[in-house]
Amino acid sequence: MNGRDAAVERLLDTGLQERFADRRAPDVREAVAARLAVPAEVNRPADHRHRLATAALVLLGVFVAGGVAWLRNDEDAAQVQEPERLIPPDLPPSLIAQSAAALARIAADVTSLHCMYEVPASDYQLLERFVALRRLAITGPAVTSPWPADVFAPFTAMPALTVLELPLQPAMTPEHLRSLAKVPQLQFLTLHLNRPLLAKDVAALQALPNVRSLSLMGGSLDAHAVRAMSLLPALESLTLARIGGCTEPVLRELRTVHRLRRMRLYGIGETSRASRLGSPGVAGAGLSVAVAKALGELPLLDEVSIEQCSLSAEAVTLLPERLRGFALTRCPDAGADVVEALLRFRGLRRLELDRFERRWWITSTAARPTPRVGPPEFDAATAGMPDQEPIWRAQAELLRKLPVQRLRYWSALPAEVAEALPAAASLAEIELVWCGPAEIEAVAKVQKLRRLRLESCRFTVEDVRPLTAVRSLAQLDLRWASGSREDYAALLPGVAVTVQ
Amino acid sequence: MSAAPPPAPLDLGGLVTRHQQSVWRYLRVLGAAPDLADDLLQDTFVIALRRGLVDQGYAATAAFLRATARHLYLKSHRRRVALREVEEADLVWQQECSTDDGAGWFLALDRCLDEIPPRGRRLLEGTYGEGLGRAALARELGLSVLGIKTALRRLRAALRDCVERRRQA
Repeated sequence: MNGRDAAVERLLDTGLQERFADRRAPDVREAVAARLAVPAEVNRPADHRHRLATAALVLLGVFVAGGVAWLRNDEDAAQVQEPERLIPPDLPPSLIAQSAAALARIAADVTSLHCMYEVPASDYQLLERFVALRRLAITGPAVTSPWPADVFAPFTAMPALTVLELPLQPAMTPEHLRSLAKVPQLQFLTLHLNRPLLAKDVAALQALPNVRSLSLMGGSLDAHAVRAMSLLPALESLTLARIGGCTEPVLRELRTVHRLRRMRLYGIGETSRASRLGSPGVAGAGLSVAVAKALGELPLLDEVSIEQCSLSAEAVTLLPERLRGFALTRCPDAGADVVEALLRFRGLRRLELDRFERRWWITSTAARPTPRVGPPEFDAATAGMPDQEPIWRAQAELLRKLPVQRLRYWSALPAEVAEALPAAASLAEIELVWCGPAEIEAVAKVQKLRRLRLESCRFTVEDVRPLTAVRSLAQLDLRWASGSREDYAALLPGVAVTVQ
Repeated sequence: MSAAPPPAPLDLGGLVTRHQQSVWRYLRVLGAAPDLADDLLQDTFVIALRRGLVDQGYAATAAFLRATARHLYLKSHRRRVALREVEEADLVWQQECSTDDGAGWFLALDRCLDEIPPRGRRLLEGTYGEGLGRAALARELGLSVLGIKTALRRLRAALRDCVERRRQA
């Protein structure tokens, strides 16, 4: 074999390992920045001795980790680590301010804040004192008044602000967006569009060096705006939620956004059953065959999330087979064939599914039931839904046949899915929303369960007793649950418990 | 005499994001094992930036980073790798990947992999994804060990041909 052949073979090896083993370039941004921050003489490139010392330290670390795992009799300590997920950090629930007066009463050291009212420009200055914020959301109706150029200046004094959600008001310009470049740690940006998003707005976002995730909600965009996203320097995750203008030609431009690893479509494309339920979605393509083909051209795409969109099994089969994450929720037009099509993602690690519940679809235009915590009741007859059992059987097959490590499931587990859980050999993390005691019993049979999150579930402290039999359980996260952290911790010694 | 304008501040995160994948792949094509490529990737950026790398456009920056990476790779293998081999690998990269950082080549490979029949795909998954040995795969697929070796060789040759065809189409 000559030198050229050998090089092409290595190119092929690289491609095959990327595709089948997900072995690709690490993200060295932080490491490079950290090394550049210290003087050169103490941070030379790794030489031979340095490598030996590093190897020794790594070996020591391995022995320590192994010893700890042995002491804990934890067979799964070597669980394969997934790459960093492209979702915001799990912060405490936000404190909500519904007026300027309420905002004034909130302590300055809050880390997560949501201003949920018609926030005028003058009230942005009131945010200046919240220097510990990590997440800030401002939502509310459109405000048509002019906006000073420095309206976002208070955010620049928030060194830990990572997650920011803002309205893009009719009178805001690209310069307003560009000024966000001075927010040092901003990584997750959501814009509620109170006007169309233009290519020049997206171009202004190029100045934001660290924004990895962009979510666009409401309003509308066009093909030029989508194409401009290809120039965003760090963009890896994009959400398009109930946004107008998402026709097939516009969404096909997503193929130019080469750095995308995660794509989420929400409420795009009319679905007949959703329309009957009073939540028709915004007119657009949804996950059509052409859009799926375009997404298939993205070389790094790793995770796709489809919520309340029109889609077909054929479209799913055109997505890249290498996907590691897939979410399919609130898509009443998706039958068992769509769920079965997910079987082609043979390396799937993260899966999010749901059980159809009519209550999810009640909107402001229809009668709204009294909100309550716990699983809503299924009302197939009123909803006019087809038989759900084939869908549940298909969901169970996914768990049996795919190497899923993390499952998030909305609503009560159907018996078919619950029975498949013990057969999911790789399953280590489960998140359940709107569950009850029966679901806790079901997940207690998952042999390698390490982390369980229960969100808006209805149960008592005593109901979690079956988890005492799960020796691998290391973490239990409870959101909107009854009982105190101490109660659960006393029942599950050795398990890290968080309650919010 | 007016002073030269100060250089524009460098967008470190953006620069690393834009180039890290192609530099890593380039190192792999030169012959670096994945772990070594990880190390050298980091070193490449640190050294290039310490030596005053400025963003002079995508192509020029990529070329500077590749030169730095090549130098580091040669240095790490000083006594074990022939300069000629590295130069040939560099030429392959220039010909196949330099215009688009390899995106076209890897996309073509992805497409070709989608066309592989199920048994062939299983063979590749077992070999590259799960690290199974030939004996284990032979048992699973009902072939001899030699048969697995031959099938893999043929699959790789077919993939190379397929990529080349797609690139020329």
